[in-house]
Amino acid sequence: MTVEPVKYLLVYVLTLLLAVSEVFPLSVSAMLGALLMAWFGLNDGLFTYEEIFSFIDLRLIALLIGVMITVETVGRSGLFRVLGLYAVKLAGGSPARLFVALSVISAATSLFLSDAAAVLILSATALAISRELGYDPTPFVVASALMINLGGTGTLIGSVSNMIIGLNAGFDFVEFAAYLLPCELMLWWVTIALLYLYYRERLRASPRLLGEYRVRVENKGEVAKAALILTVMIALYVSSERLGIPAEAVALFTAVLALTSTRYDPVEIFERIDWDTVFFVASFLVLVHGLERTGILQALSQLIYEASRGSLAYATLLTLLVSGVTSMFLANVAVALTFVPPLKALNLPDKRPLWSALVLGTNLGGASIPVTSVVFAMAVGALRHEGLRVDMGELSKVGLLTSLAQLAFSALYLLVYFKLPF
Amino acid sequence: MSAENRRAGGGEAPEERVLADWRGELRIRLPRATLYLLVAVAFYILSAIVPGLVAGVKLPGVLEPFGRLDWLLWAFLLLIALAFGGNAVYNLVRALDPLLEAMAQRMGGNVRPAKRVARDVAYMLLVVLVAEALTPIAESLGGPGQPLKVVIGVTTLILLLILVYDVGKITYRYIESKVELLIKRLEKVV
Repeated sequence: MTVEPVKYLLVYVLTLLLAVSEVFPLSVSAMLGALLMAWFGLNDGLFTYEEIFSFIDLRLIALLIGVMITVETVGRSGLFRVLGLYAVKLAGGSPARLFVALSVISAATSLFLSDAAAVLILSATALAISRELGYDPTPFVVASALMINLGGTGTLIGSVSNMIIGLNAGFDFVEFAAYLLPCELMLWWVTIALLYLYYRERLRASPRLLGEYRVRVENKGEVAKAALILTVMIALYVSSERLGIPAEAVALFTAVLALTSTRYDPVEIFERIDWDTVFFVASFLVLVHGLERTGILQALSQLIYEASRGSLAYATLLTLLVSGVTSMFLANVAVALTFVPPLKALNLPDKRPLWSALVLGTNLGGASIPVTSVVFAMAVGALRHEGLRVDMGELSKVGLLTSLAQLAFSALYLLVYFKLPF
Repeated sequence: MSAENRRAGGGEAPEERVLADWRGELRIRLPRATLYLLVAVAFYILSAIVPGLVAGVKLPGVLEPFGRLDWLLWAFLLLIALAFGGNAVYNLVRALDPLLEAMAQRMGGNVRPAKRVARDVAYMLLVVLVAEALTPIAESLGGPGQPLKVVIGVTTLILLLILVYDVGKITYRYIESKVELLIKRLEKVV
């Protein structure tokens, strides 16, 4: 059997190019790539027809769909909007305090909601509050988008890339959080401080008195139910290892619980699931496993090993840097799926720092440039919809500044937390 | 669209307009390109015949090979042939340009230059890989597979040439706009 790796590499590059240049949506690009990969692989005898289906990790797909159903149901209750309104109340009208409170609420919301849904809810909240109090909305909306990207970095279900990496690394919910949640919480404050310093001039409006401001909750029952579902979900994830329940089983159980305990139309909930991401992940898995069979990813693994000269510290920093920079331009799910096989193949005794670096890199690089970041693009859209002029150069500067600072801080964190010697 | 509207040219679909533009352009450019090409070929033939008639004639006081009349004539005629040939290619490209532009627009070409180049490169890869995927199917057909392979090869080549031309045009326009900007700035400085 003679296999031309270049052909397979071209299929991979084509998939990324089709997605980046928006010829097709992410899912369709990956499906086309998977189709070509399957066709060439079958013709060259690289794998069998049955093996193609074994490439698709059903546990991962179940985890994705389960989490998506739960967050969609919880998000509909208005729980996160209520939290945003409480942030206004707590800030007492001071723009600086409101800035910090909204930033924290954004990151916390993103722990449970998808980034796109969180941006939609919090941008609308930030714009409504700014309009009411007469503040410049740009700092609030931009900070909210950046904090939403950061939020969820430290939890297994915080983002799709986390689920991919966590399942492949064999981390349970608690282990994942133990390695990464402290870093995320520290990054919250690093990012808020940086953004506050950047926008301090624009946050110097005189505080408005909000003594009479009251948070009105329209559907208290639904909000309470949503809070309860979230609590059950977190409790189950935290004790999943002790109970012997895998993460995807918890996700599916919570999804069923959410669907049965609320009165929302399940068809509507299913329609709102991010099928684009689900099909993208399934198809990209075929692509990456096909590429793995050609030996290209093993060569990449060897390259990482040689570049890091066998040092875990260097390998960790290299993984963080490369995954962080590539995530600035490519979908972080694609970066995570591509990095998983080479990291698995690496001949190092302890790979926890490497997996953690990959989680941080793929998450933090995701909101650097407005034109390639979904959360940024949505925030820009919200500001433009409000009739505000958006300076893309300035936004890129803010995004790059925060991303680079976050990556630098994460590098320090990984070196200290895992006590990595050079 | 009503017949009146069609006659008045109102409410014409963009694709029809592009096609009409292209037909108009083709009517002007194709005869020119053909004529220029014929003249270029004629001069090329002349450049092969005429110098032989004056072989051995030397111009006094001029360095070799510039002093040889046959060389001078050959170079002069070839230059003319090249100029006409260039003109023919230019007219042909101009004739095809509206069609290629319409194709690019259809492929979603109304985007930033960097994205359009990325799209063209993606299409190039797609064309090459689809051709590579179709080749084993054509081979498996036996007898009729051979002409099918030729059709796949030629179609791939044509599509690649169109895409390369589009990348070249976009890159040229981009660099041209930057140079224009630089010239304007220099003018302001001066």
